Amino acid sequence: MASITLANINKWYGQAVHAVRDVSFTIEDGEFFGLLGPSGSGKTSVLRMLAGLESATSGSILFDGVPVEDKSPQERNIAMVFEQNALYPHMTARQNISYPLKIRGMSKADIDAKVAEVAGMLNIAHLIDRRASQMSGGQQQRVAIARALVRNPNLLCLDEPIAHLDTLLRARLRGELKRLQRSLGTTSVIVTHDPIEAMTMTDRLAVMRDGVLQQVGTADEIHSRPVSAFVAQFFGLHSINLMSIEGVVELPRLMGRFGGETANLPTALRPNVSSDAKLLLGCRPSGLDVRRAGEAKPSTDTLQVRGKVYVSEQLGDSLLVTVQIGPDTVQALIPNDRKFGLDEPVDVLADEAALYVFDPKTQSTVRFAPRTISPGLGNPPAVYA
Amino acid sequence: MSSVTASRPPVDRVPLSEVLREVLKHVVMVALLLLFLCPLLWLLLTAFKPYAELFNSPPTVLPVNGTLANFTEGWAVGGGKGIGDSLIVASLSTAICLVLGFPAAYALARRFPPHGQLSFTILSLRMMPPIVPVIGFYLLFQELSLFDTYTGLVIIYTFMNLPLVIWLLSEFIRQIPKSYEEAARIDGAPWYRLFWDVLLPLSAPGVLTAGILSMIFAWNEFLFALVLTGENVITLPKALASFFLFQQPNWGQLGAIGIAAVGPLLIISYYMQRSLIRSFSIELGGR
Repeated sequence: MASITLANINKWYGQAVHAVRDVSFTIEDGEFFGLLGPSGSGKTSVLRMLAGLESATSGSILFDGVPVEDKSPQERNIAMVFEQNALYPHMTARQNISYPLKIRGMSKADIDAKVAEVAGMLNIAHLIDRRASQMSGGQQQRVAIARALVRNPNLLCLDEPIAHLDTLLRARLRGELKRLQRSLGTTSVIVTHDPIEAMTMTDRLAVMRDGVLQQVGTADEIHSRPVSAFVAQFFGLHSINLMSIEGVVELPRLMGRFGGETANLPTALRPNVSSDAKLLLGCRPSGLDVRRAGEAKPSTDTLQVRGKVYVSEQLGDSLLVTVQIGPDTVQALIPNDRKFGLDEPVDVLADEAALYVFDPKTQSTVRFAPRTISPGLGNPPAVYA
Repeated sequence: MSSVTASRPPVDRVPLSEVLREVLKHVVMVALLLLFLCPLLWLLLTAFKPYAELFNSPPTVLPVNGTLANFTEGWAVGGGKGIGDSLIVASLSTAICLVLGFPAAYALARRFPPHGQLSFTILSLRMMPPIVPVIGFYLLFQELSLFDTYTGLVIIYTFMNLPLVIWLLSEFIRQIPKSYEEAARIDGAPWYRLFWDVLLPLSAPGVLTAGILSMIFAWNEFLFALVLTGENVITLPKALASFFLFQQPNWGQLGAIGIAAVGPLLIISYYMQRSLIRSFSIELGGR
């Protein structure tokens, strides 16, 4: 177990590709840390540099304060679970799990005891003499995790370990991995492009984009206080709605144009209007409400704009309504006791307290939503309060 | 319309045109097969006929007085030496090809872009007609006292087969996901264990294919053997050819040695079919 520090890490592939740009963060001892980002964001490169599979072009990596840039994966004592092709196909599960111990010259009796221990921990004792081809994807990943844990690594690296499994299995392994990590206390890093995985499993996480670290924090911090429109959009169960409002005027109520429609804006946003009369607003689907056209009266503390229903989707206990406003669309997550027909004219409403404001040029956050609304339901917008 | 009964499950009706097409396909295949197998079959039958019977008119197809004498005599008059020498030269050159070729193929697969210049250059060495370098080798071998030695022929066959082995293996290794090697590095395996425990078992079908092909080429090779050896080293193809130096070749013995020459290849090819096809389809799939 170890705490890990990355300081000003850069990675160039050849002369042309600057894959990781000046990334610095610290992973605490025993922490489950997530690296989240779309493909090509450099998250895997960071993990591979941590593991020692690739070397950083510049910058330093410290394990418990000791530089490890010149050390091999083995010397760093890291373990890794790969997305695919993780197990040696010509060996049984037992041989796979015992391989790192065999390399270290451990005695047969000790190996057998260790293998039995992790096999029990991961519920794979009954698969122990099967080869990879005789196991399902989930079973293979369990064995791969067992192989990683069998030697008490300083750092457990997980490279999209459950990304290619089916949805149900993924949900189950998410929970298992998290429990396992908690009970063992092994410092772990998971790379994922799935915000739900990152949110549910990790203690803290880093969001990356185009090789640049965007934000580091707990899932809750990043969800409620995203530093930029990108982070807000990327992170969350449903993507945040970005609304680019132009031609904002005060006569005397604050108004602007969104998707060609006139939008009524909360007065509180007056100080955030840019010099060229623009506003870039963000609102999570759970912060939006949809009402039949004309049902709600415009007020000074809500955003309100007319649109028509593009489609509404049942999500069991809630309804995801996509509303078309000119060329733009927004999504609202509302209680499912309402029904909307296709192309039905509606008003989209958002409480001032649910609105983020981003800089229209830099996309960085200017104002956090004062009241964050947790994803899912139970917290319908209080526009009628 | 026939009714469905328990004793006779319904069978899909096949249109007549489909049946005819299948029949035609098989007729053509059988005809072609006969055309190709005929010489081989005749060789086999000849090997079991006494000398006198070969000139029967009209010829007999099956041996009337079947004999194994051709095999024992053929072995004595040069077949044995031929098989022994061919085995020595083919297996030694194949072993060297694999030992040298594997690391080269690995480097080519992992460090160079697929189907790049280097890969092509290496393969193109194999495209040269053997007759081109043979004079050069002859003079060189005279100077280096390699003429008519096992060493000389092993060097030549290694030179001849190495490009193919490298190319074949590198294409095969390219198909092995890197994550296996990375897993081994992370598990702490030093390079020789990575090679021995992970890389070699995973590339075994490729190694086998490359080995067999290299073996076959060396086993069949005639031109270099003819020019670069004399009395001391006599490989099987050369031994076979030497029969024609006598006024009247003993066809029976020739047939027996011929069978010994192609027999092992046929047996190996039959059993290795799958592995061979797999390797070749990997080549094609990699395009």
